Amino acid sequence: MHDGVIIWMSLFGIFATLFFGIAAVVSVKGLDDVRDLLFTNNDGKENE
Amino acid sequence: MNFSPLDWVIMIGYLSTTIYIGLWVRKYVENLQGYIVAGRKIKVSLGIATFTATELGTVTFVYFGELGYVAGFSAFIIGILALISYTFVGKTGFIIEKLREYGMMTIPEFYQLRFNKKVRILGGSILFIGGVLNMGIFLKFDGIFLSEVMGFGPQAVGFIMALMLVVVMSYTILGGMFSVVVTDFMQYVVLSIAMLITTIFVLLEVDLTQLSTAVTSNLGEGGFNPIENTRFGWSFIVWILVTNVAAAALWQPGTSKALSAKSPAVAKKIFWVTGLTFAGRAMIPMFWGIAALAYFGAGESTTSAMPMLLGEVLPVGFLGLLVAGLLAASMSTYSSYVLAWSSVLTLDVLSSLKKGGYSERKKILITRVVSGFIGLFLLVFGLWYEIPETAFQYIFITGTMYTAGALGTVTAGLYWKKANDIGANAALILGAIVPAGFLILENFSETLPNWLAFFTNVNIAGMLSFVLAALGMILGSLLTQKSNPAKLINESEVHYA
Repeated sequence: MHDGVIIWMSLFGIFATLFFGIAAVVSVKGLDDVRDLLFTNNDGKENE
Repeated sequence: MNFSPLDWVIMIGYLSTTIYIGLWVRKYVENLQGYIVAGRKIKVSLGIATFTATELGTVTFVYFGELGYVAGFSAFIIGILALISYTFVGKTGFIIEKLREYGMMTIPEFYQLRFNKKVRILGGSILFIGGVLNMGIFLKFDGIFLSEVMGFGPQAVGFIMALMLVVVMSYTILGGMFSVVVTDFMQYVVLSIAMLITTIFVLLEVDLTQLSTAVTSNLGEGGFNPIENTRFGWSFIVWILVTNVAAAALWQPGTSKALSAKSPAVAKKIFWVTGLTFAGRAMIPMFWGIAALAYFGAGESTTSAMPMLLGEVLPVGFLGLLVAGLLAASMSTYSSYVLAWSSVLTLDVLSSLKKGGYSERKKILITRVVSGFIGLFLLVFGLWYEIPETAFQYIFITGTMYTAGALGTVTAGLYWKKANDIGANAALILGAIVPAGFLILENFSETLPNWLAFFTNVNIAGMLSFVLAALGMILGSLLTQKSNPAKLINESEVHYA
């Protein structure tokens, strides 16, 4: 087996984990941001 | 056909939900600022989701998958370069922090602030043309990709293209950036899940030995070392690094997310955290492409190999989820890009040409009409134009048409007091000429005289456009300082937001 496969696939593992890890955090926290975008005004108060 | 009834249910359900949410959100658009930059209320997580979703379309999977199939692991360097570039821009705030501070809605708007209205009109025109050409192939490649994954074959391409366009246009035209951002968030979640599941199934299908054998036997050392690969090499690496920094800071669909952020600090954080995902963004579909090489061998169509693999390895139900995810990817990209280019044409060109400008209400109307025309163009151009090189190189060269000039113009405008309007115009024009020359001359590459042949080397053409644009700005400004003294930013014209 070529050494390059081990190196590149290790990097792939790291960066794929980073991608999906950030996706998981953003997916959860993003819901609050959507709520703020739609349901609060520019002063941070709930829209009437 | 790979598509089962369950896959159809998932896909139709997802599309319907997207349209409903996108249309429901339009009631939050109260004014132009709301339509173009969502009232500048976007926070970090939502910003990351919409930025990532925008820059991850089905065409991204197509060209990265293709690169993995034809270049093996060497292609991974592109992802690493993108990560470096975007995190650099985010951490330093290079360009984006200042543009957000000044309350800009488009990049050519800055040209007027720093130089004059004529530079804004020229810059806006080049940005619009480059941007629309750049996305001209998205719809076609998405249609090819999806028809292969679903197992329908090439006859379904036109229908799939038209369907996607209708769905996206419906909410983008009506809801502007509010609709774009909220649907982007939903699409980001679906797409991430689909990518994770697909990657797991592909990993279960091919092992390291198969990957090693396939890349070694088909691509040799060039499949592992990007310097040795004839597609890449040092000139390519330098060009991609420079282009990525320029694109990160100045590509309107992406930069508009910074301009829509709650504050300059939020804009920076959106960029650098999103930047961390850019290596995975490239490597994941590239890995699928390499797996396709291991699975099928080297004899397949380079754009179809990866989608064919997915159609084979994904079981019933998961295929529908992947297609929903890819449709999500496409729609998030189209919506942001169409809104970006239509706002540029409306605000920076048409409204600037009209004496006294247009009212806010009229600007929103014109933006909507232009969006509709862009959609029609995508359909016609996509069905007609033959891509000369790999999709990746076409996309980068059309992007360079705008970013080369913009990098020189905006960087000098922000950080060099002697930059004047002559230098700005020179940078914009020279930055566009070489990529335009490439697109035209590439069709006649076999009959070109030797002294013009370099124009058809995409790496050289790309680098040359940045060099010429920089020279245009520097020499144009220095040689005309007396006749056209540099105009500094008038603080009274700035609406800090």
